[in-house]
Amino acid sequence: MSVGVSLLKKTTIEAETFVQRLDGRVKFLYFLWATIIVYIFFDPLLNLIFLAVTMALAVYAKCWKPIALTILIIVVPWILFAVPILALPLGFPWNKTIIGYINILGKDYPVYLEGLGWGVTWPLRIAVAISTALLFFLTTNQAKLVATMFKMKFPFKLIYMVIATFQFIPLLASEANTIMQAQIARGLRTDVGFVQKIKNYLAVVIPLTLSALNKVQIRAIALESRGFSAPVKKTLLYEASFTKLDYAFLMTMLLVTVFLAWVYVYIGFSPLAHLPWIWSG
Amino acid sequence: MSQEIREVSPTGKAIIAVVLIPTIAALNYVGGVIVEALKAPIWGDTWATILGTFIGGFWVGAAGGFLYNIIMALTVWGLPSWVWGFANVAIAAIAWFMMKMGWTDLKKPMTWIMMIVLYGLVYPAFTTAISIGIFGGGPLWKPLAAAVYTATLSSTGNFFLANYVQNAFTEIIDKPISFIISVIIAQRIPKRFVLAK
Repeated sequence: MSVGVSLLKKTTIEAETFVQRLDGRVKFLYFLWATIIVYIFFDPLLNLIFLAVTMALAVYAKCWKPIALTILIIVVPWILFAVPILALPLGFPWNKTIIGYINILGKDYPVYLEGLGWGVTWPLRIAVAISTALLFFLTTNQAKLVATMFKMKFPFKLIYMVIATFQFIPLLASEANTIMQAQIARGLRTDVGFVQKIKNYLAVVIPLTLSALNKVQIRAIALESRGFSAPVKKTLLYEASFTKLDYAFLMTMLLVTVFLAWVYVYIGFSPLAHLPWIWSG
Repeated sequence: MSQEIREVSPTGKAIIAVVLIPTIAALNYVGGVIVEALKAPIWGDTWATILGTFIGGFWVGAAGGFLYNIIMALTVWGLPSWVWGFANVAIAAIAWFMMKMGWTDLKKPMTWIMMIVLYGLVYPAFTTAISIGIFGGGPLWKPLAAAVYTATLSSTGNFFLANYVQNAFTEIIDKPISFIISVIIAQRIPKRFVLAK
């Protein structure tokens, strides 16, 4: 979670690279496209290729650090937990193909391909989804994000809600920190038992909630005073439009899609790792 | 001479709801952060959905919870996680049902029974379906939950049961506590903020 807070505080990384210049819709489409493709195939190596391409774009766009950190915190522990539990003979029902043996405390245990494949492929699918989502989020500033959503015909109220959430999170996080410091100054301790920890939680979230609700009405008045619900055409600070760069990126995605469709039809769903098919894989 | 005091809200309920929804989403998020800071033994990122349902009704709570998942899916968790938004809708639906049935009084035993049955046993069936269908199931990356998963899987060989038991193990503590937290906060909220009837 702390990674998330630092990420959402950061919002966007401003740099003059082609990734930042790409239209928000193109980056959003890349995020959807990559995620769908890694779900269609069941191949950890293909997932790694998608992850490597996304990370290369992130390095170029100078936003690779938060992405790498998020993957390190979410995906790596998941693989470390899933692989031994699923690949060793602990009951994973689709285990059939033994690929080797591992010696634990003087006894040899078989390692199964099905469990290993499952335990690596699923977290890597999520890694691709996370990295592409963060690439979109960290390289598209809020004005562009509003324009992107507006062009995608999202309702105006929904656009406000999404943008407002991004704005509220760092504000509330900072307020929670202030409340927590005040409570600690009054003797709130964190090295306590289960029930006391819940009471401590209440001691922070009650003032936070009341303060947040107080601001709801002020924000509502501010919105109304700017004609938020007025039945007129809304105008934007930034107009989203496609450039040659966007068309080139879209064309590349189209060509890769055609190639991968051919691979799927003629080679199969696991073209590089050659994993066997298992239910819900 | 007694005079009835009426609180006047300067804005319409619709616009209040529009501002309330992102506030709920942000409170869910920050709730999770506070849990981490205080090392509390819960997830702590759904109580605002329940509170939102108590304050603004089912749609406000569900929309706030769903929006939280969308934001997380677009940033930290990855696209497939947006489906957890439906879990937040289910949480809001259970909270709304309990509110309508009058099961929000923590002094009544029925509130405790239904809270544990609905949030601890019924709701995990829903999350199990999502976790297997979208994320392939498997162990969580929390040591205790992963140990429960491994123990169930190795003793029964039933993949689906292992996932359900793991989910029930985490939810049976987290969601009832979130519900209790929301009820306690809702009792302290001034009436002018309550939109739900």
